[in-house]
Formats: sequence, C-alpha cells, structure tokens
Amino acid sequence: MPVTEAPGEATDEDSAPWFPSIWTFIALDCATFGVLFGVFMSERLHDPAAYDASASLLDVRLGLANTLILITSSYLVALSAAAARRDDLPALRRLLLGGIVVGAGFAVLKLTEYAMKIAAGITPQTDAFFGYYFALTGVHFLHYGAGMLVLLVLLRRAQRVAAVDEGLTRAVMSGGIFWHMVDLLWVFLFPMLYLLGAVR
Amino acid sequence: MNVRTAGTRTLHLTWAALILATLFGVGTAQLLGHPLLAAAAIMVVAGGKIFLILRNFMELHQGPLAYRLFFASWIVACVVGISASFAFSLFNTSARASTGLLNSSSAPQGDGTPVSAPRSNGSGPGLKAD
Repeated sequence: MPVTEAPGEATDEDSAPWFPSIWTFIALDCATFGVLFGVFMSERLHDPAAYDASASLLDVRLGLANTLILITSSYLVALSAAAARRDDLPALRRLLLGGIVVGAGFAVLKLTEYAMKIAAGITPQTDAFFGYYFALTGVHFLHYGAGMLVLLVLLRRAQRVAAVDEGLTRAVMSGGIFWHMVDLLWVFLFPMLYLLGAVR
Repeated sequence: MNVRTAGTRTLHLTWAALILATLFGVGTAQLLGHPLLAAAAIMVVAGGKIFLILRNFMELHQGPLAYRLFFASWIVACVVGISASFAFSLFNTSARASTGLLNSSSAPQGDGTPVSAPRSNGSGPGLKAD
C-alpha cells in the first residue's frame, strides 16, 4: 500500500547528510572513553569489594534521573532535527528550547550530587573509586557543557532567521549529533559507576 | 506540528524503548538474584540503548560502512570488556575468600571516613548510601 507524506516531511527513507569531521571526532572521543572504561574496570579488579562499597554510596535514583533527562533531551533534539528537515521553524525552535530546558536538569542534579558528596567529605582524594568517579563524570560534564553551549547557539541562530535554510538544517543535525554523544557516553557511565556496585 | 510522520514515529518509539530499557536495567540491578547475570544483563541493555541512539537519533545507519563497523565494535568491546572484568572480579574475590586471602578492604563511609568493606564474597549488598 503506498504511503503518502506531506512535502518536506522527514521519513525513515530520507537520507541524512553525512558529517565526516563530527563523526571522526565522536569516534575518537568514544575510543578515548573506551580506554578510560577499561582503565577503571582493570583498576577495580585490584579491590572490587572496596570499589563496590564506594559505589553503593552513590544515589542510583540521581543517576537514573540524569539518564532519563539526557535520553529525553536527546529525543527532543532529534525531533528538532526532523523539524528542521521539514522546514518547520516554530517546531524547531520549540523542540530545541525543550531539549535545552530538559537537558539543564542534568546540570542541576549532577552539581547537587557533587555538592552532597563533597559535603559528606567525599572528594576525588577519598579513594580510588571516587577518584575515577569524579574524573569520568567530570570529563563527561565538560562534554555536557560544550553540548549545551552548542544547543544554545543553535537556538539563537534559529530565532534570528525567518525560515529554515540548508545551513541551519545542517547545523542542527551536526550539533544534534554532538549532543547525542553526551547521552551515549552517559549510557555506559551510569551502569558502570552506579549499577554494577549495586547488583545483588 | 505534525509529529506523526514515519521518521518522527521512529523517534517516539526509540525514546519509549530507551526509557523502558533504562528502567529495566535499574530493576535488574536491584532484583536479579545472580550478580553475574545481572551485570551482564545491565551491560547488554546499555549496549542495546547505545545502538538505538546511534541508529535512530544519530542516523549512523546511513553512514559509511567503516564508521558503522567501528561503532558496532566499540559497543561490543565495551559491553564484553566491562562484563568480563566484572565476572573476573567476582571469581577472583570468591577464590580469595575461599582461600582466606581476602583481607579488609577500605571504602569510605558517608562522611568519607574509610571503613572495612562489608562485602567479602562479591555478592553482598555493600554499604548503603543512606
């Protein structure tokens, strides 16, 4: 049965433009994080009981909430890219703003978590686990900050134009890919840091 | 705004699948009886989530084969590597406990003070956050 689509609507069959420089950067970043994951897990082998005991001091609910926040923000940004491809400027602005607002929740919870840990006397110097915890989540937080900055620049650009052009569409898609990488890395960090120490 | 095109429908379904998979992963960590199975399930679910993000949010499936192969390998390497390392730590801890070599490990309490780790066989609950 033939399926009709409104002109300009994004479909599964649409071919997305390819951004080699962004993807190469993401591949290198993922490879770097892969090495960091390997270093953390191999160091954990020296004293898994101590690592698990320290991991159990993390609040899984905060980690879970941050995961849901990043997934939802990523989803809204993916929708904004689809809106850009069908030249829907109001939807693009609305969805980008939604992605930024939801994504901001990650910073609120992460900074709250850091503050709670430091107030409880837990710092990167406390033990090896928390050294890695602060390093890994800290480097991820830098990526998050860069991603939020990219989204804010995209929103500002979308608010300054009267219609979606090809340049804006490509910018939203490539910026969106970077933002999804922030989500991607957290999806591995969350179980590795928060959940493995809590398995029964 | 029409959000029911084929492309956006895929995004909606992907988001729902990611949310459900996240909740499943956390539930598995808390409820599944066997730590090794739980860890493997958690990491496989995480790998599946990353595959969905790469494919449907980032549209990697339309990219060059070399990149698709790289990211597929990266996911498999991370899932297998983390799961295998966790499994090895379980066996290693059990072996040390059975031979009496396991000494008191130190881990911080909520106030950062190191204490003896309560987990001695790799399957105990460890310290509580609160």
